Amino acid sequence: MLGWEFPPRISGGLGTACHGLAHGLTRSGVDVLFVLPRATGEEDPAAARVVDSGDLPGAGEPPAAAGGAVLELLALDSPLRPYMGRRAYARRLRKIDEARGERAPAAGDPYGLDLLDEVDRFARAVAGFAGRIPFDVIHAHDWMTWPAGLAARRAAEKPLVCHVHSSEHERAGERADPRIAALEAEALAAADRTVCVSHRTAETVAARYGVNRARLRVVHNAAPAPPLAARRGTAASAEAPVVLFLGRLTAQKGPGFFLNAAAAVAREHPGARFVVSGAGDLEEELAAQAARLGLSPRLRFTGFLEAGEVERMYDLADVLVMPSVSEPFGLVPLEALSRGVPVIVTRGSGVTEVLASRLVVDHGDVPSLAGKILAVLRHPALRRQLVEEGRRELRRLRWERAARAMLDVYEELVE
Amino acid sequence: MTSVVFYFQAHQPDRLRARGPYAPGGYFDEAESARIVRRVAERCYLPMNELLLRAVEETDGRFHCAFSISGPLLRQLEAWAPEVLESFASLAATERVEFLCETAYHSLASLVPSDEFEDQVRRQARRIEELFGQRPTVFRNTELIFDESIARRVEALGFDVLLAEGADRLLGWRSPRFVYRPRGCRRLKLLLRDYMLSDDIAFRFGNREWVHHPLLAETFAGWLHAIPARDTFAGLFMDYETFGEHQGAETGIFAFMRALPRFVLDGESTDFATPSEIAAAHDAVGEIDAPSPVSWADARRDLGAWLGNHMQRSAHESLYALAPGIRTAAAHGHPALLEAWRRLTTSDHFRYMATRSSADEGMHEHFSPHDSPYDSFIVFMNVLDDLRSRVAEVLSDRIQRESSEDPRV
Repeated sequence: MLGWEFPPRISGGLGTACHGLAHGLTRSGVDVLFVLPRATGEEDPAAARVVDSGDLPGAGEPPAAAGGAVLELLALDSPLRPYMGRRAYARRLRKIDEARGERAPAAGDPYGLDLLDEVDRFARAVAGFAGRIPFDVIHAHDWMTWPAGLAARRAAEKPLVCHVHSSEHERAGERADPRIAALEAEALAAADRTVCVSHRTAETVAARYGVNRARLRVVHNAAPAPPLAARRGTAASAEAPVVLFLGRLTAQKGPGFFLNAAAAVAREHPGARFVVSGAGDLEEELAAQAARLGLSPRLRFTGFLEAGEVERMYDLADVLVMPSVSEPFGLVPLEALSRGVPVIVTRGSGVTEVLASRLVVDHGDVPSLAGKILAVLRHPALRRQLVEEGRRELRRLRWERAARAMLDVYEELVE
Repeated sequence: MTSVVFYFQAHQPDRLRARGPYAPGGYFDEAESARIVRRVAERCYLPMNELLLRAVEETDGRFHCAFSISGPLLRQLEAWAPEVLESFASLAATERVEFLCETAYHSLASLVPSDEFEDQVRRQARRIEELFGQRPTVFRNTELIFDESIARRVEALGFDVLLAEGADRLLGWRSPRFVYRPRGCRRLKLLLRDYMLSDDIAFRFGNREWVHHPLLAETFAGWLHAIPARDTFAGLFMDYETFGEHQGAETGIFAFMRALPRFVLDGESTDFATPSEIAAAHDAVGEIDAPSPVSWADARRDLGAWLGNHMQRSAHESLYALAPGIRTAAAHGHPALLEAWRRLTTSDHFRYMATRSSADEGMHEHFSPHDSPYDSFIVFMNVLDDLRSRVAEVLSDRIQRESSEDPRV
């Protein structure tokens, strides 16, 4: 399995999904070697056994543990992450470059040529050992790992599954980076199977990349096991309820729409507070928008939250809004719900295909979003119903189920 | 001799507009209701009324049946499909078709201890008499909701007969095909629905997976003939929209109903009767205990479909909490507020908030005008908020006027 991020160092849903799926697969009896471009030194030894490329079994040798399926984490050395946002990316790259004594990337380039270089370097590194170790299927997550997947397929002559967590078209719409879109198209045309996280993404991939529907499968993401009881009560914090946005601050995630609705809610509900959690390109623009809307005294930008902070934030929130323009799946609503927070999402989000206990709004419909936020804050019966039914649904949306669906796809290829 | 008792329930709700701001009285999506009632008139009410009228004529009056038409549907038909009301009146004129009474707003008022239930029932009885020239003596409560206290209220209102679901938990080992008396009633007779035979038509008829599909009128009449002759009646109670809506014309439901009366009457052992004819000819054979409400909905036959979750109970409580204020406002020159409030008592508004996805096997499938049960709740509560603020305005005006007229102030 080829991935780009893995807990605990993650920037978004991709790492969470890879972690959930990889563990679900091992529990279904599949040995998984999860290959990452870079070691952080913070890998949780309880989450996966961290191996060194020197320790990998050679071709023909039996898998590491004969007794039960194992998850091994192999981190190669590569410094970059996707979806970082231009400024954060430039910052990180400057640090690396300074250490190496090299130049910074050109401004205005959202990913930087160097990220594409990294993708290429990762592919070469994977090709270097893929022919020498035993495995049956190559499973590559999102475009950054697909060149590596193609390289591994050439080296080992094993089937390739490309897993689409989001496509460049969904991330950037008409402003898609042509280099990334081309890279996606090339990999998807060659892949033996393309797995999408939702039917909507499968439709996009079929329409935009011309992927043959016979090789297209949908495996929905799943949820962490919900705590036995939601930590907080079901009554909204009467005096000062908290309305939460949690996600990257990019146009795709719709934070501006959130702020407009927040202003409408603030007019009706004098106590309501708003929190925007996450980092991204739009930080400054959003701060200016909040000031213009007069939201500043009641709105807090927290920046990027680490894993433990995310949970604490859910425990403070009375409602979570995922106002994305385009959302292939959307794991955040599932996480929030598992902590007892009711959720409002935009119509067409992939998560709506598997979760009925949510409110839905059309992207950009400010009165509708404001009305639904207010309804959740005002009616305890609504909150309670959304959370109770939602947690019942979550008990069925387990990663084991996603893993079984994934296993069916592997079996089609290994027959 | 066993009598086949057909009772058809005709109902359409008034649907709420999803978005405010609401003009006074503008809570309801009249255009949508008009569109739907015209469609159902075309597909179901008109062709089926015509079919039943012919059945009466062709059997020389030996085909009998009963209807209950909900108050909201009566209003919609008057407004948008008056020809349907005329054809119901033609059925009434045959004197073989009985019209039953229910609450005037297809409401759950029977579950609330206030006079609202009695007011709605009396109002509906007057309307039925005006429209069809019959004073109803048979009562069917909304969704056949029945328990002992409801039965006592219905008896106190002067009805002779009450219809209810032939639920297993009411009957135990007993058969639904006899006349019973609800515990606590002295006079009222209870006729129960035969859910096996009723659902063969109402739910299973068009189901290709069903072992008896396609069901022929001759086969079904054969099942009726096979009922032991000592059984009093078979209660075939179902939605009228079964014909042409729930079971589309393409299923052959009209041909089935056209052929059925002849086959039923060909046997020596079966005839047709209305509920009041059965009650007049037969005494109760036993008593039915119903300490908790039984309905005809879902597998559980309880109130879960309308009051089963937090939202539904909260909305229903909030609605009835407004009743005293509404009545005061109405008594002081604002009857439109009471009318709007009563239209909110219709059970469908609560049904749309149902979240329970229990194994209903496609039975009693309900179509909601809203995105989700949560949205149905929000829309209802928004409307109720609007109504509450209008009532508050009226009442505060009145208090101000009275205090300015009061010489002691």
